[in-house]
Amino acid sequence: MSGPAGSNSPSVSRGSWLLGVSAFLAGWLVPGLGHALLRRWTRAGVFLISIVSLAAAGVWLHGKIYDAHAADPFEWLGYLADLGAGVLYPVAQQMHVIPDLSRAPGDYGTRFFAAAGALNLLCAFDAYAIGTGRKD
Amino acid sequence: MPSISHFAAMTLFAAAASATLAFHSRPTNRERFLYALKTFVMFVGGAILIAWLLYPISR
Repeated sequence: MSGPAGSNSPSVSRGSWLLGVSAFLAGWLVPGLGHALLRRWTRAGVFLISIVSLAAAGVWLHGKIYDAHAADPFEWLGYLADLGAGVLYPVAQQMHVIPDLSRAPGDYGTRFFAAAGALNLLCAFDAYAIGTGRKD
Repeated sequence: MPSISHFAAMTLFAAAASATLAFHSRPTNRERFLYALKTFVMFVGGAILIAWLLYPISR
């Protein structure tokens, strides 16, 4: 069921499955792009700034960026969370930052990047809900 | 190697998570602001409270 279009929502009033999936994929690949596609400019800007800030802080603090060669289930969870950051994940991997988990900031960095990925997935699902018309 | 205090790291995380959750879950700007503020205070205040509760057994 699609909700009523608010007076301050300049975007698509009726959603479609294709628009929702497109918004999800765009939002997953680039934080905020899914909402920008749906003309939710403020949300797109806030999501872009907050998620990129968290991911950048994670890399700057020499956090661990997990890869597919996970040794245990917790590393798999970390890998899945990191993948949620979309295009930020390969960018972070290409920077070849050596993780330093012997100090607290490195541990914070690991959590920051994983949190950025998880929040980005949440935002991508939000874009999907708006695109399909389930949410205004 | 970069360094950051635990409090600064916590504040950065709380700010980013609060803003994202507020824009995700509240429809109007006023509600978003209040929700973000409440969430931010709960993140930071909760961590400080837990830190003080654990202080007696930290050494």
